[in-house]
Amino acid sequence: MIENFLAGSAALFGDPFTIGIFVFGVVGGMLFGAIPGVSMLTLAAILLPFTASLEPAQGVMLFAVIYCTGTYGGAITAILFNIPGSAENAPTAFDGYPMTQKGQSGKAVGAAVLCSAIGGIASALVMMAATEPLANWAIRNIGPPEIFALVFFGLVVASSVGARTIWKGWMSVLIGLLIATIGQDPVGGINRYNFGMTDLAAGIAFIPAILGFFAVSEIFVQAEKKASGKYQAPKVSMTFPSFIELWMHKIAVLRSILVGFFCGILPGIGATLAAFMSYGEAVRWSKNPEEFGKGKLEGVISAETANNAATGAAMIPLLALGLPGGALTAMMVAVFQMHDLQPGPLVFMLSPDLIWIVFAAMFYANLSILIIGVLETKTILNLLKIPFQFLAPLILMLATTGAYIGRGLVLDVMVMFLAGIIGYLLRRSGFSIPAIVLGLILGKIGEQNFAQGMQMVHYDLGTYFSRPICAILIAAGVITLASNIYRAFTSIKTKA
Amino acid sequence: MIAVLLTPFIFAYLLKPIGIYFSAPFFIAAIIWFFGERRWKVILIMTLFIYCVFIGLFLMILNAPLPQGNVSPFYDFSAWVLKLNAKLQGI
Repeated sequence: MIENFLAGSAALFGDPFTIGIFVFGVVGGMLFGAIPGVSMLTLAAILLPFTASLEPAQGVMLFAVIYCTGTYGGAITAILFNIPGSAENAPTAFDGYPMTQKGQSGKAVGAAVLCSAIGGIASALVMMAATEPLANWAIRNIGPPEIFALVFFGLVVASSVGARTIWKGWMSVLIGLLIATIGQDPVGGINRYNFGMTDLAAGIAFIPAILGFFAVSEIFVQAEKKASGKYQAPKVSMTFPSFIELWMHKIAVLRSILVGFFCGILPGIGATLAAFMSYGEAVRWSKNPEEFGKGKLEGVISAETANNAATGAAMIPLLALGLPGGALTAMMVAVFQMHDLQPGPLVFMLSPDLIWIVFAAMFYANLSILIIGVLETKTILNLLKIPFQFLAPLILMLATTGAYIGRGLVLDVMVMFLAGIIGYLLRRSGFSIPAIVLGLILGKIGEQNFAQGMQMVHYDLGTYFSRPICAILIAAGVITLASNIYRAFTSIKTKA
Repeated sequence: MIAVLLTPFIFAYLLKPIGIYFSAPFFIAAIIWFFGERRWKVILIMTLFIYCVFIGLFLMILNAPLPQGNVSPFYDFSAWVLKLNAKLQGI
C-alpha cells in the first residue's frame, strides 16, 4: 500500500501539467464551494466536457480533488455570514455564525480548517486500505444481478434524502429513471421515446443533463432571487484552536469521522447528510444539548469533520463496484466513460496507476486544505464582492459550449436548457435534483445489468433471490423503503 | 421570470442558423440585464469582457469546433472571426 501510495505521489508530482491540474482543482473547488449561488457541482459540471482532452487519471483526479476541497470551501461563508456556500456546510452555520456574533470567528474558522483536514485525511487513509480488498472480493462475488440489487438499494436510499417529503424523493428518482429510458434499449435496440428524432436514439447524454440540472438551474434560482453580493465584510482572523481544546473534543472528532465515513460509503447519501447526522449525534451525545446553536465549538467540529470524512468513503463504492453514491461521484462515472473505461473492480486490474494517482491526490488535497485554508480565507472575502450578474452569463456560455462540444449537436444545448428549466421548477417545489441525476445514471447502469443478469439466469427471476448477496441487498432495500413509508405515514398522523 | 427561462431556449434554437459567434454577445447582454444591471455602459463593457474571455478560451486556446451558423450574413461573420483567429495564430 505504501509503495503504491509513493508511486502515485511520484506520478502526481512528476508532471508539471498534472500538478497544475491538482492546484486548479484545489483552488477552484474551494472558491466554488465558498461563493454562494454556485457550488462545486457547478464547477464540476462545467469542467466535465473538457476532461475529454485530459488523461483519464488527470480527469478523475481533478474531480476527486474538487470533491475534497469543495466540501470544505463553504464553511468559511457559513461561519462568517451565515450563508453556507453549499448544502453540506449548512450545519456548520448553526454554531459557526453564533460564534462570529460572539467575536470568536477566528477560532471557528481555524477549527473548521483543521477538522476538515483531519476528517478528510483519516477518510483518505481508510479508503486507500479498504478499496482494493473490496474490489478483489467484488470481482469474484459481484455479478450483474448483484449490481442491479445494489442499484435498487441505492435508489431507495437516494429517494429518502434531499427532497422535502419521501413522495417527492421518489418522484425525483422516477423522473431520473424515466429520462434514462430515452433512447435504444440495451437488449433489443428498440427506440424508446425518441419521437422519430435520430439524435435522440443514443439517449440523453449525461453531460448536458448534468450541466442543465446543476449549473443552469442554479442560475435560474439566483435570477429569481436577483441576489446582489452585498455583504458586510467583518474582520477575519484565524487562530487555530489550541491543542488542549482539540484534545477536549477528541471524542467528537472520532465520532464525526465514523459517522461521516459510514454515511459516505452508503450509496445515495454523501457529505450533506453526513454533516447533518454528525451534528445531530453531537447534540444527542452532549450532556448539555441546549448549548448547541448558540456558538458551541463542538458543533462546528462535528459538522466539518463529518462532511470531509464522507468524501473518501464515497470513492470506495465508485471504484470498487462502479456505483456512484452522489452527484459528484456520478459525474466521475461520466469521466470514466468518456475515456472508454468502466469504473469498477476491473479498473484495479487494468489501470492501477490511475487509482493510486487519484488516492494520492485526495490525500494531498485534504492536506492542502490546511495550508490554503489559512492563505485563502481573505481572498474568498474579496471574491464575494463579484456581482452575480457578471458571473451568470459566463457560466451560461461555458455550459453552452460544454454541452455542444461533446457530440457537436445543438440538440444537446436544448436538452441542457430544458433540464435547467425542469430543474429550476422542481427545485422550487422541494424535489431533489441529486436524486434525479442518480436516477438517470443508476437507471442506465441498473437496466443494463438487469438485462445481462436475466440472460445469465435464463430469464428466471427467482434466481435473483437465491443468490445470497443479491437477496440480502434487495431485502435491505425493501426494508428501508417500508420503514420510510411507515415513518412518512406516522408523521402525518402525529401532525394531524 | 418567464423571459429569463425562455431566453436561453431562443438562444439554443438560433444556434444552428445564426451561429454562436454572432449570437453570444446579445445573449450575454440579455442575461446581465435580467440580473438587474441597468447602466448600459456597464452592460456594454462586461459583455465585451465576457465575450473576449469566451473567444480567447475556446477559439484561441482550445480551438473548439463551435456552431457557425448556416444563414448568409451570420455565417459570413463566423467565417470572418475564424479567419481572424487563424491570421492571429499565424497559420
